[in-house]
Amino acid sequence: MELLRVDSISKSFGGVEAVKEFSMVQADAEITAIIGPNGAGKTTTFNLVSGVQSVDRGYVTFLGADITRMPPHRIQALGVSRTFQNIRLFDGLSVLDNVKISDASRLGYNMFDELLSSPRVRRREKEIQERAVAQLAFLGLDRYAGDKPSSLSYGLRRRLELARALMPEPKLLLLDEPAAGLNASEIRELMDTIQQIQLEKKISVIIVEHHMELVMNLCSTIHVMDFGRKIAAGTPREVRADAKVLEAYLGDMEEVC
Amino acid sequence: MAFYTAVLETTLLFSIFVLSVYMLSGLTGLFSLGHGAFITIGAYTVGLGTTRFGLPIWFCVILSVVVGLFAGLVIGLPTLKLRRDYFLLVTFMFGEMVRALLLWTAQLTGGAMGLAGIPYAAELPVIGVSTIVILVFVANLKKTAFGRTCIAIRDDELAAQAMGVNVYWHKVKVFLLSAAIASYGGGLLALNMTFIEPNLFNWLESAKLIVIIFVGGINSVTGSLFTAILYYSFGEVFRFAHVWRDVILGVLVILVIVFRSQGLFGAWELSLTWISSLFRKIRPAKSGG
Ligand SMILES: Nc1ncnc2c1ncn2[C@@H]1O[C@H](COP(=O)(O)OP(=O)(O)OP(=O)(O)O)[C@@H](O)[C@H]1O
Ligand SMILES: [Mg+2]
Repeated sequence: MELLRVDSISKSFGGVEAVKEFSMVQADAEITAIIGPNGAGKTTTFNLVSGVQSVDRGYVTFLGADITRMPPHRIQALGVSRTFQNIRLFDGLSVLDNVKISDASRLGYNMFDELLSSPRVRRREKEIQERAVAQLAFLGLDRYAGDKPSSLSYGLRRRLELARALMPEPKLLLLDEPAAGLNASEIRELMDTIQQIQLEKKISVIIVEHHMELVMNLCSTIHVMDFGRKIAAGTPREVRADAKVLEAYLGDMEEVC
Repeated sequence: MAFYTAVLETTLLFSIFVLSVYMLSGLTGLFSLGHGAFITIGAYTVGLGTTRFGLPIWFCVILSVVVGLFAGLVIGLPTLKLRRDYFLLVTFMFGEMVRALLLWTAQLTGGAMGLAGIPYAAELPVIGVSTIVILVFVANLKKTAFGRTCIAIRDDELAAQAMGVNVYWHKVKVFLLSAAIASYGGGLLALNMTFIEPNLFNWLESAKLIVIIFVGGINSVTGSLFTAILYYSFGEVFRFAHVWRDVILGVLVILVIVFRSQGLFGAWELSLTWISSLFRKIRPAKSGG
């Protein structure tokens, strides 16, 4: 089933055309990738889909609904969750509270319920607590629940971002360079985790990543961007053999092969 | 005795103002230099209501909260969409505007001459209970989903949005709550001082509220309250050394910012469990001796 449809979206910053007429379709519970050299427009594409930046031209639809001009919190509430290339955790909150926060759109009670601490609030808080703890356990972070994110190692912080993104039980997960800064064994763990997310949680995943082994092993379809445009798309095998891709990656060819 | 009661009353009233700003600046990271305007609005609603219109005192107090909320909506709805630095500028202008308006409507408000003859109705019990209720409210708020959301917005607005937080709407809620508490406190202030004037709470005083929160620690209600009590009671008790409290506060701000950026109290909160653990520590020592 079609989950996300990106229809010829564009975005420029001043003179820089960061994304130019980019299109893609993402189905249920599949893992795909967007790859491309630095500055190709991958992060901007994620920002446009998640509503963090506004689309200049083109359309984005999610589950048939037009989300092109929707504010980010509503897009998230529909089931699109994401992580950030440059980790963006809430340092004033504990590890556990960082995870709890992303359930905001489904809180189901308002401020006044909360002030009166109604039974509904207490039930909901208990449920959020349990799910947040389970999410931390899933990523092996339960030991750090009470710590501050800044006290965690870089690899653990990346995992915490993933836990936070999974908390709202999204339908689509956007991972912006999840392997950046991780060592080889951490990357292997990450690959297992992403596979579990797809197979057990039935979540569809789009990965932006420079780490080619991860991309080639996990993804059914790869979209290749260069200077804001999509220059190729296909299975790992097809993309690897594409002349335009090789040209774009000139210099780090061995990385692709 | 009466003197110390008066000191305590004033100190607690100012603690209410600090608590109202704590939600806005400490928890949510929004800086308003016009917060004194809500205090002034609350004070004048009560002042005018009781002296000029002969309305019942406690009806006026409720009215002050309503007027404060209304002003909060008018000023908050358009400005909370703006970047934080613009928000600061607009709230500053709002404060100056309220002051100018009071001077301008001198026939009604008494203008620069002030407004006298307000009944003395807010005595220590009322002020004390109000402070405790508001303190418990703010301290609890910090622990709820509402408070978590405030901190997330303060730390990273963009990430908060992407995590499903309606940042604008949440800011409006915080601003209104904060305005309501400030106006209520302003109403009590009028009923305690019995004389008010447009300069009652100018932008410098508003800025001090924020400074106190930073000295105490933005993550600690306890710290903000402690600093507030210290600062305001010092000024009242040592009237002759009135100016010195600003010097001391100034030095303290610099020391805190340079050496302890998380504030005096960091994230520490006084809690019942902490108090009881203290007692548990004391008791075995006694039985042992
Ligand atoms: N907020 C912005 N303002 C101005 N220019 C921007 C902004 N964001 C991105 N750009 C520019 O748009 C282009 C695409 O950037 P983007 O971050 O999307 O690339 P990327 O593919 O994610 O690169 P990387 O692999 O380095 O993360 C770059 O030229 C970048 O400098
Ligand atoms: Mg990027």
